[in-house]
Amino acid sequence: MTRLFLYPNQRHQQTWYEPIVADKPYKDSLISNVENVDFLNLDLYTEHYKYIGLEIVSETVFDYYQPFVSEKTLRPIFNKRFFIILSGPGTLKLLQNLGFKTWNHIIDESYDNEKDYIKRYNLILKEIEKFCNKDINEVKNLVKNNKDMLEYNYTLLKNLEEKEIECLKSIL
Amino acid sequence: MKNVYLRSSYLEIIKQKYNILLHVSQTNFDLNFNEFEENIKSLKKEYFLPNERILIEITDTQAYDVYNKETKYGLLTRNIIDTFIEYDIPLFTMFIVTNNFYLREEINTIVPEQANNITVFFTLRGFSMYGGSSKFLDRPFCFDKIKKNCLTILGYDRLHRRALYQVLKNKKEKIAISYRKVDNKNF
Repeated sequence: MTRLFLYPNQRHQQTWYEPIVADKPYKDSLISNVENVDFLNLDLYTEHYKYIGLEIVSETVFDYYQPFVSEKTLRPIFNKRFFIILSGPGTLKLLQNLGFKTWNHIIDESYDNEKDYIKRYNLILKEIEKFCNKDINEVKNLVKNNKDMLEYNYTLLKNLEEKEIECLKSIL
Repeated sequence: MKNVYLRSSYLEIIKQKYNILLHVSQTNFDLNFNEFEENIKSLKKEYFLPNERILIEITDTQAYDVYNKETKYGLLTRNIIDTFIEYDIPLFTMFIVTNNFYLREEINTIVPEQANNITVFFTLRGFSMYGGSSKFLDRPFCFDKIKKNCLTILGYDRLHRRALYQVLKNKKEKIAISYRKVDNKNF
Protein backbone atom coordinates (compact mmCIF):
# COMPACT_ATOMS: atom_id res chain seq x y z
CA MET A 1 0.00 0.00 0.00
CA THR A 2 1.30 3.46 -0.86
CA ARG A 3 1.67 5.81 2.05
CA LEU A 4 1.97 9.52 1.55
CA PHE A 5 4.32 11.63 3.63
CA LEU A 6 5.30 15.22 3.77
CA TYR A 7 7.05 16.88 6.67
CA PRO A 8 5.60 20.35 7.13
CA ASN A 9 7.43 21.03 10.37
CA GLN A 10 10.74 19.63 9.12
CA ARG A 11 11.66 17.93 12.37
CA HIS A 12 14.41 16.18 10.44
CA GLN A 13 16.14 19.54 9.86
CA GLN A 14 16.18 21.07 13.26
CA THR A 15 18.86 23.72 12.99
CA TRP A 16 19.04 27.32 11.93
CA TYR A 17 20.88 27.79 8.68
CA GLU A 18 22.82 30.77 9.89
CA PRO A 19 24.58 31.17 13.23
CA ILE A 20 22.33 33.64 14.98
CA VAL A 21 22.78 32.43 18.53
CA ALA A 22 25.50 33.51 20.87
CA ASP A 23 27.19 30.41 22.21
CA LYS A 24 27.73 31.63 25.75
CA PRO A 25 25.76 29.67 28.32
CA TYR A 26 22.93 31.33 30.11
CA LYS A 27 24.02 32.55 33.55
CA ASP A 28 21.46 34.84 35.10
CA SER A 29 17.92 35.94 34.62
CA LEU A 30 18.60 39.32 33.10
CA ILE A 31 16.32 39.87 30.18
CA SER A 32 19.24 41.08 28.08
CA ASN A 33 20.55 37.51 28.13
CA VAL A 34 17.30 35.89 27.11
CA GLU A 35 18.62 35.00 23.68
CA ASN A 36 20.94 32.41 25.18
CA VAL A 37 18.23 30.46 26.94
CA ASP A 38 17.22 27.09 25.64
CA PHE A 39 13.52 27.37 26.38
CA LEU A 40 12.76 23.94 25.06
CA ASN A 41 14.46 22.45 28.07
CA LEU A 42 12.65 24.67 30.54
CA ASP A 43 9.34 24.28 32.23
CA LEU A 44 6.36 26.43 31.27
CA TYR A 45 7.24 28.94 33.94
CA THR A 46 10.35 31.01 33.59
CA GLU A 47 11.55 34.12 35.33
CA HIS A 48 11.90 35.94 32.01
CA TYR A 49 8.24 36.71 31.74
CA LYS A 50 8.57 39.12 34.64
CA TYR A 51 10.42 41.46 32.33
CA ILE A 52 8.08 41.57 29.35
CA GLY A 53 4.50 42.56 28.57
CA LEU A 54 3.60 40.44 25.58
CA GLU A 55 4.84 37.25 23.98
CA ILE A 56 4.97 36.84 20.23
CA VAL A 57 4.21 33.13 20.06
CA SER A 58 5.68 31.39 17.05
CA GLU A 59 3.84 28.09 16.84
CA THR A 60 5.19 25.01 15.10
CA VAL A 61 3.32 25.88 11.92
CA PHE A 62 2.07 29.07 10.34
CA ASP A 63 1.07 28.24 6.75
CA TYR A 64 -1.43 25.69 8.00
CA TYR A 65 -5.08 25.43 7.17
CA GLN A 66 -6.34 24.86 10.70
CA PRO A 67 -5.57 26.08 14.24
CA PHE A 68 -2.66 24.56 16.09
CA VAL A 69 -1.96 24.90 19.81
CA SER A 70 1.04 23.54 21.68
CA GLU A 71 2.94 24.38 24.86
CA LYS A 72 4.19 27.55 23.13
CA THR A 73 0.72 29.06 23.28
CA LEU A 74 0.17 27.90 26.85
CA ARG A 75 3.37 29.57 28.05
CA PRO A 76 2.21 33.23 28.10
CA ILE A 77 -1.10 32.13 29.66
CA PHE A 78 0.81 30.28 32.35
CA ASN A 79 2.99 33.33 32.92
CA LYS A 80 0.11 35.85 32.93
CA ARG A 81 1.11 37.82 29.88
CA PHE A 82 -0.53 39.01 26.63
CA PHE A 83 0.14 37.16 23.41
CA ILE A 84 0.11 37.43 19.64
CA ILE A 85 0.13 34.03 17.94
CA LEU A 86 1.69 33.02 14.66
CA SER A 87 -0.21 29.84 13.93
CA GLY A 88 -2.95 28.57 11.66
CA PRO A 89 -6.06 30.75 11.21
CA GLY A 90 -8.66 30.36 13.93
CA THR A 91 -6.20 29.60 16.74
CA LEU A 92 -7.45 32.51 18.87
CA LYS A 93 -11.02 31.46 18.20
CA LEU A 94 -10.18 27.94 19.36
CA LEU A 95 -8.73 29.35 22.59
CA GLN A 96 -11.85 31.49 23.05
CA ASN A 97 -14.03 28.43 22.54
CA LEU A 98 -12.05 26.71 25.27
CA GLY A 99 -12.89 29.65 27.53
CA PHE A 100 -9.70 31.70 27.38
CA LYS A 101 -9.77 35.50 27.11
CA THR A 102 -7.82 37.09 24.30
CA TRP A 103 -6.70 40.68 23.83
CA ASN A 104 -8.81 42.29 21.14
CA HIS A 105 -9.07 45.51 23.14
CA ILE A 106 -5.28 45.85 23.06
CA ILE A 107 -4.28 44.13 19.83
CA ASP A 108 -6.32 43.99 16.65
CA GLU A 109 -6.95 40.25 16.48
CA SER A 110 -8.51 40.27 13.03
CA TYR A 111 -5.35 38.51 11.83
CA ASP A 112 -6.80 35.33 13.28
CA ASN A 113 -9.56 35.34 10.65
CA GLU A 114 -7.21 35.81 7.71
CA LYS A 115 -6.68 32.55 5.86
CA ASP A 116 -4.05 33.88 3.45
CA TYR A 117 -0.86 33.38 5.43
CA ILE A 118 1.04 36.23 3.80
CA LYS A 119 -1.74 38.69 4.63
CA ARG A 120 -1.98 37.19 8.12
CA TYR A 121 1.76 37.60 8.60
CA ASN A 122 1.60 41.25 7.57
CA LEU A 123 -1.33 41.94 9.89
CA ILE A 124 0.63 40.38 12.75
CA LEU A 125 3.73 42.44 11.99
CA LYS A 126 1.59 45.57 12.04
CA GLU A 127 0.31 44.70 15.51
CA ILE A 128 3.80 43.89 16.78
CA GLU A 129 4.99 47.25 15.46
CA LYS A 130 2.12 49.01 17.23
CA PHE A 131 2.81 47.26 20.51
CA CYS A 132 6.54 47.97 20.26
CA ASN A 133 5.82 51.66 19.83
CA LYS A 134 4.19 51.80 23.23
CA ASP A 135 6.11 53.40 26.04
CA ILE A 136 7.29 50.89 28.66
CA ASN A 137 5.16 52.56 31.34
CA GLU A 138 2.13 52.15 29.11
CA VAL A 139 2.94 48.44 28.77
CA LYS A 140 3.23 48.15 32.56
CA ASN A 141 -0.14 49.85 32.96
CA LEU A 142 -1.76 47.57 30.38
CA VAL A 143 -0.56 44.51 32.26
CA LYS A 144 -1.62 46.01 35.57
CA ASN A 145 -5.06 47.04 34.29
CA ASN A 146 -5.71 43.62 32.76
CA LYS A 147 -4.65 41.68 35.82
CA ASP A 148 -8.09 40.14 36.27
CA MET A 149 -8.17 38.73 32.76
CA LEU A 150 -4.61 37.45 32.99
CA GLU A 151 -5.38 35.77 36.31
CA TYR A 152 -8.60 34.36 34.86
CA ASN A 153 -6.70 32.68 32.00
CA TYR A 154 -4.13 31.33 34.43
CA THR A 155 -6.82 29.84 36.66
CA LEU A 156 -8.59 28.32 33.66
CA LEU A 157 -5.36 26.67 32.57
CA LYS A 158 -4.71 25.54 36.12
CA ASN A 159 -8.11 23.84 36.28
CA LEU A 160 -7.95 22.48 32.76
CA GLU A 161 -6.45 19.15 33.78
CA GLU A 162 -9.32 18.48 36.16
CA LYS A 163 -11.87 19.34 33.46
CA GLU A 164 -10.13 17.21 30.88
CA ILE A 165 -10.00 14.22 33.20
CA GLU A 166 -13.75 14.56 33.82
CA CYS A 167 -14.25 14.68 30.07
CA LEU A 168 -12.03 11.63 29.62
CA LYS A 169 -14.07 9.70 32.17
CA SER A 170 -17.27 10.66 30.39
CA ILE A 171 -16.16 9.24 27.04
CA LEU A 172 -14.89 5.93 28.43
CA MET B 1 6.64 2.13 24.95
CA LYS B 2 9.36 4.59 24.06
CA ASN B 3 8.94 8.33 24.35
CA VAL B 4 5.27 8.49 25.08
CA TYR B 5 4.03 11.69 26.63
CA LEU B 6 0.59 11.09 28.07
CA ARG B 7 0.69 11.97 31.73
CA SER B 8 0.05 9.24 34.25
CA SER B 9 -3.06 10.94 35.67
CA TYR B 10 -4.71 10.51 32.26
CA LEU B 11 -3.18 7.15 31.40
CA GLU B 12 -4.25 5.50 34.63
CA ILE B 13 -7.89 6.38 33.95
CA ILE B 14 -7.70 4.86 30.50
CA LYS B 15 -5.99 1.76 31.89
CA GLN B 16 -8.73 1.30 34.47
CA LYS B 17 -11.15 0.71 31.63
CA TYR B 18 -9.04 -0.73 28.84
CA ASN B 19 -6.26 -3.20 28.30
CA ILE B 20 -3.67 -1.23 26.31
CA LEU B 21 -2.06 -3.52 23.73
CA LEU B 22 0.22 -0.84 22.36
CA HIS B 23 0.99 2.74 23.37
CA VAL B 24 2.81 4.87 20.80
CA SER B 25 3.40 8.51 20.05
CA GLN B 26 3.30 10.03 16.59
CA THR B 27 6.71 11.52 17.30
CA ASN B 28 8.14 7.97 17.45
CA PHE B 29 7.02 6.93 14.02
CA ASP B 30 6.14 9.84 11.76
CA LEU B 31 9.66 9.77 10.38
CA ASN B 32 9.76 5.96 10.38
CA PHE B 33 6.31 4.71 9.62
CA ASN B 34 7.53 1.14 8.96
CA GLU B 35 8.15 0.73 12.67
CA PHE B 36 4.53 1.61 13.45
CA GLU B 37 3.34 -0.69 10.69
CA GLU B 38 5.41 -3.58 12.09
CA ASN B 39 3.97 -2.97 15.56
CA ILE B 40 0.42 -3.01 14.24
CA LYS B 41 1.11 -6.09 12.14
CA SER B 42 2.45 -7.95 15.19
CA LEU B 43 -0.83 -7.34 17.03
CA LYS B 44 -2.90 -9.13 14.43
CA LYS B 45 -4.96 -11.97 15.87
CA GLU B 46 -8.17 -13.89 15.40
CA TYR B 47 -10.34 -11.57 17.42
CA PHE B 48 -10.01 -8.63 19.80
CA LEU B 49 -11.72 -8.29 23.13
CA PRO B 50 -14.03 -5.29 23.59
CA ASN B 51 -11.72 -3.78 26.20
CA GLU B 52 -8.53 -3.96 24.13
CA ARG B 53 -7.14 -0.72 22.81
CA ILE B 54 -4.19 0.63 20.85
CA LEU B 55 -3.31 4.03 22.28
CA ILE B 56 -1.90 6.55 19.81
CA GLU B 57 -0.73 10.03 20.76
CA ILE B 58 -0.95 12.61 17.97
CA THR B 59 0.76 15.73 19.23
CA ASP B 60 2.56 17.23 16.29
CA THR B 61 1.58 18.81 13.02
CA GLN B 62 1.17 16.72 9.94
CA ALA B 63 0.96 17.23 6.21
CA TYR B 64 -2.23 17.88 4.27
CA ASP B 65 -2.76 17.18 0.61
CA VAL B 66 -1.54 20.34 -1.08
CA TYR B 67 -2.81 19.19 -4.47
CA ASN B 68 -6.37 18.67 -3.42
CA LYS B 69 -7.58 21.48 -1.20
CA GLU B 70 -10.83 19.67 -0.59
CA THR B 71 -9.08 16.79 1.18
CA LYS B 72 -9.13 18.02 4.75
CA TYR B 73 -7.29 15.35 6.64
CA GLY B 74 -3.72 14.75 7.65
CA LEU B 75 -1.78 12.23 5.64
CA LEU B 76 -0.46 10.62 8.79
CA THR B 77 -3.99 10.13 10.12
CA ARG B 78 -4.95 8.58 6.83
CA ASN B 79 -1.91 6.30 6.89
CA ILE B 80 -2.66 5.15 10.43
CA ILE B 81 -6.23 4.26 9.55
CA ASP B 82 -5.14 2.59 6.31
CA THR B 83 -2.67 0.47 8.25
CA PHE B 84 -5.37 -0.72 10.65
CA ILE B 85 -7.64 -1.59 7.75
CA GLU B 86 -4.86 -3.27 5.77
CA TYR B 87 -3.94 -5.60 8.65
CA ASP B 88 -7.57 -6.14 9.56
CA ILE B 89 -7.28 -4.64 13.02
CA PRO B 90 -10.76 -3.48 14.07
CA LEU B 91 -11.03 0.30 14.30
CA PHE B 92 -12.75 0.14 17.68
CA THR B 93 -9.33 -0.69 19.13
CA MET B 94 -7.98 2.70 18.07
CA PHE B 95 -7.81 5.24 20.91
CA ILE B 96 -6.30 8.56 19.86
CA VAL B 97 -5.21 11.23 22.32
CA THR B 98 -4.46 14.48 20.55
CA ASN B 99 -4.10 18.24 20.75
CA ASN B 100 -5.61 18.50 17.25
CA PHE B 101 -9.07 19.83 17.98
CA TYR B 102 -10.34 18.89 14.52
CA LEU B 103 -9.07 15.32 14.35
CA ARG B 104 -12.55 13.90 14.89
CA GLU B 105 -13.78 15.75 11.77
CA GLU B 106 -10.83 14.43 9.81
CA ILE B 107 -11.60 10.85 10.81
CA ASN B 108 -15.24 11.42 9.86
CA THR B 109 -14.01 12.32 6.37
CA ILE B 110 -11.68 9.34 6.02
CA VAL B 111 -13.94 6.56 7.35
CA PRO B 112 -17.43 8.08 7.67
CA GLU B 113 -19.15 4.73 8.34
CA GLN B 114 -16.76 3.65 11.07
CA ALA B 115 -15.68 6.97 12.54
CA ASN B 116 -17.70 6.50 15.70
CA ASN B 117 -15.82 3.27 16.47
CA ILE B 118 -12.61 5.25 16.97
CA THR B 119 -12.17 7.01 20.29
CA VAL B 120 -10.65 10.50 20.08
CA PHE B 121 -9.77 12.47 23.18
CA PHE B 122 -8.68 16.11 22.90
CA THR B 123 -6.31 17.50 25.51
CA LEU B 124 -4.03 20.49 26.00
CA ARG B 125 -2.74 19.55 29.43
CA GLY B 126 -2.42 15.82 29.00
CA PHE B 127 1.03 15.67 27.48
CA SER B 128 4.11 15.98 29.63
CA MET B 129 6.02 17.54 26.73
CA TYR B 130 3.50 20.38 26.81
CA GLY B 131 4.46 21.59 30.24
CA GLY B 132 2.47 18.94 31.99
CA SER B 133 4.97 18.84 34.82
CA SER B 134 4.66 22.55 35.60
CA LYS B 135 3.49 23.25 39.09
CA PHE B 136 0.67 25.70 39.43
CA LEU B 137 1.95 27.53 42.45
CA ASP B 138 0.38 30.83 43.40
CA ARG B 139 2.92 33.02 41.75
CA PRO B 140 2.78 36.71 42.58
CA PHE B 141 1.40 38.90 39.83
CA CYS B 142 4.22 41.13 38.70
CA PHE B 143 4.29 44.10 36.34
CA ASP B 144 6.68 46.65 37.81
CA LYS B 145 9.78 44.79 36.58
CA ILE B 146 8.80 44.97 32.92
CA LYS B 147 11.79 46.15 30.88
CA LYS B 148 10.86 45.20 27.33
CA ASN B 149 7.61 45.30 25.42
CA CYS B 150 7.81 41.82 23.95
CA LEU B 151 9.46 38.43 24.09
CA THR B 152 9.62 35.88 21.32
CA ILE B 153 10.94 32.34 21.63
CA LEU B 154 11.73 31.08 18.19
CA GLY B 155 13.01 27.58 18.93
CA TYR B 156 13.84 25.37 15.97
CA ASP B 157 14.40 26.77 12.54
CA ARG B 158 11.19 27.13 10.56
CA LEU B 159 10.48 29.31 7.57
CA HIS B 160 7.99 31.58 9.35
CA ARG B 161 10.33 31.96 12.34
CA ARG B 162 13.22 32.93 10.13
CA ALA B 163 11.03 35.50 8.39
CA LEU B 164 9.92 36.81 11.77
CA TYR B 165 13.50 36.98 13.03
CA GLN B 166 14.58 39.05 10.03
CA VAL B 167 12.07 41.71 11.09
CA LEU B 168 12.42 41.48 14.86
CA LYS B 169 16.23 41.48 15.01
CA ASN B 170 16.14 45.21 14.34
CA LYS B 171 13.93 45.81 17.36
CA LYS B 172 16.03 44.19 20.06
CA GLU B 173 15.75 47.19 22.32
CA LYS B 174 12.01 46.48 22.50
CA ILE B 175 11.86 42.71 21.96
CA ALA B 176 13.80 39.96 23.73
CA ILE B 177 14.50 37.17 21.26
CA SER B 178 15.41 33.58 22.05
CA TYR B 179 16.34 30.99 19.47
CA ARG B 180 17.46 27.40 19.51
CA LYS B 181 21.19 26.83 19.62
CA VAL B 182 22.78 25.84 16.36
CA ASP B 183 24.19 22.36 16.65
CA ASN B 184 25.23 21.93 13.05
CA LYS B 185 29.02 21.78 12.86
CA ASN B 186 28.98 23.32 9.40
CA PHE B 187 28.33 26.73 10.93
